[in-house]
Amino acid sequence: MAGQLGFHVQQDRCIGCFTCQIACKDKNDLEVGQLFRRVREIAGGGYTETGNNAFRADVYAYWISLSCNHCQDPPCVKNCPTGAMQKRPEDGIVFVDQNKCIGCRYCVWSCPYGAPQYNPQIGKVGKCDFCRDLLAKGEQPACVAACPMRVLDFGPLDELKKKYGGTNQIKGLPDPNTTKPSILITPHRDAALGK
Amino acid sequence: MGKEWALVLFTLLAQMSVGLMVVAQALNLKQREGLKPVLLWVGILMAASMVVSLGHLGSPLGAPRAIFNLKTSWLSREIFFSASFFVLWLVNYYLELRTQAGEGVKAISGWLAGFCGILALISMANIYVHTILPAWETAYTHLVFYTTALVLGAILYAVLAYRNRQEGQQGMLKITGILTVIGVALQLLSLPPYLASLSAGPVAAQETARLLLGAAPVLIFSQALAVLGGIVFTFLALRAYGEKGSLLTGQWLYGALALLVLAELASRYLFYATGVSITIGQF
Ligand code: SF4
Ligand code: SF4
Repeated sequence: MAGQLGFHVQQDRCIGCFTCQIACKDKNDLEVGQLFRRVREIAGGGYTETGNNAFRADVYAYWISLSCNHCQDPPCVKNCPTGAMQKRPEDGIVFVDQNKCIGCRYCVWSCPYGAPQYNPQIGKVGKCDFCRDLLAKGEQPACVAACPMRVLDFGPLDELKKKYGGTNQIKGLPDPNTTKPSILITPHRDAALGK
Repeated sequence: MGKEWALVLFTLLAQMSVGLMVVAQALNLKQREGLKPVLLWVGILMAASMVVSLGHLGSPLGAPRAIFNLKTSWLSREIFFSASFFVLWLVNYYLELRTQAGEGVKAISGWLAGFCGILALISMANIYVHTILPAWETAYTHLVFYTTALVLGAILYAVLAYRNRQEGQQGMLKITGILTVIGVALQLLSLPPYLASLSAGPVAAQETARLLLGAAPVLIFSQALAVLGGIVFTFLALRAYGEKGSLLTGQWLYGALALLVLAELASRYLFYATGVSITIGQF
C-alpha cells in the first residue's frame, strides 16, 4: 500500500500560466465550463495614506492551482446516494464511477473546494481522479507533468510532507478540518496564514 | 444555486402529502370515517412529488440506485423513506377502503405510514443541513421544512374534510386553524434570527443575506400571503361557520389554501435561489 496520495503545490513559484489547467482539460476532454483543475488569482490589500500626500501600497496577489484534494474525510463520498463517488482504499484516490452516477449533484453541494463538475451533456458528474490510468502506467498526472515551473508534485502524502513540509491551509481556502484535504502547499509569502 | 424548480415542487408536494397524512391520522383518532376522502390526496401528492423529483436528476433512469448508500447519505435515506411512505400509504388506503379489517389495524397502518413520512421529512432537511451552503446548513432548514408540512397539511385537511362532511365541523376547523397559525407564526419568528445569523457569518453567508434582501419584495410577499392565508382567512372561515354562513366558510378555506400554497412556493423558491456556495469564484 502506497498510502494516501496527495499533491504538493510550490505556490510561491507559480506564475499563473494556466498550463496545468489546460493539460488537465485536454487530458479529460472537458467542455467549456468544466474544470477538474483550476488556477485562480487571489488578490487584495490597498493603499493607505501615510500623510503628506504619501501612500503606502500593501496590495498583494498570488496564484493557486487546485484540483480535487482527495480528502481523507470526503463529504462528497459520504453524501453520494449511489456509491458512485468513492475513495479507493489502497491510495485514497477519490473518483466517480460514471456508470453509477445519476447526476443528483449532491456531491457538488458537499465539496468546499468546488471540485466535482456537473456535465450536462451526459447528466453525470466528473472530477479529478488523479489520472489513475496514467499512474497505472507509471506516468505522472497530466498537470504535474505539464507544469513548466515544477510547481506541482504528487506522491504519498507522508513522503511529500518529509520532502517539502507545507500546509493544507492558506488564506482564501476553506477550513481543512472538515474534509482533511490531501494537499500540501508551500505558501506564497502573502498567502501564508498569520501574515 | 440557480432555479431548482424540480426541487422546489418536489419538497413542497412531499411535505404537503406527509403533513396531510399525519394531521389526518391525528384528527381521526376516534372514528376513521372522515379519513377516506382525504387519503386519496395523500397518495396523489406523493406520487406527483416523486415524479417531479426525477426532473432534478441528470440521469433519471438511474433513480433506483439512489438508495444504495443508506449507511451515510441522507439523500439515500430520503428516497428510501419517501418510497416506503408511499408503499405504506397504499397498504393503508387499501385497508381503509376495501377491507373489513378492524379499526386498530387500520389505525396502525395509517400511523406507520405517517411515521415513515416524518422520517422522510427529517432526512430531507438533513440533506441540506449537510451541505456546505450557508443558506441551508442551519436549523432554519429543519424548522421551515416541518412547519411547511404542518401548515399545508392542516389547511388541505380542513378543505378536504369540510368539503366532505357538512355537519359538526367546528372542532375540526378550530384545530386545523390553530395548527396553521402555529406553523405560520414559527416561520415568521424564525426569519429575523436566520437573516441576522447570515449577515454575521462568513462571506458566502453574507452573500446569501444580500440576495435575500435584494429579493425583499418576494420575501415580504410570501410572508404577507402566509399571514393573510394562514391567520386571517382561517379565522374568517371559522367565524363564517359559527354564523351558519357555511358557503362562505368553504370559500375562505379555499382562499386560505391558495394563499398558503403561494406563500410557501415563494419562500421555497428563495430557499433554493439563495444557496450560495462558500467556494467563492469556484475556489
Ligand atoms: S476536494 Fe471535494 S471532491 Fe475532492 S475529495 Fe475533497 S470533498 Fe470530495
Ligand atoms: S452527482 Fe453522481 S457522484 Fe455526485 S452525489 Fe450524485 S450520484 Fe454521486
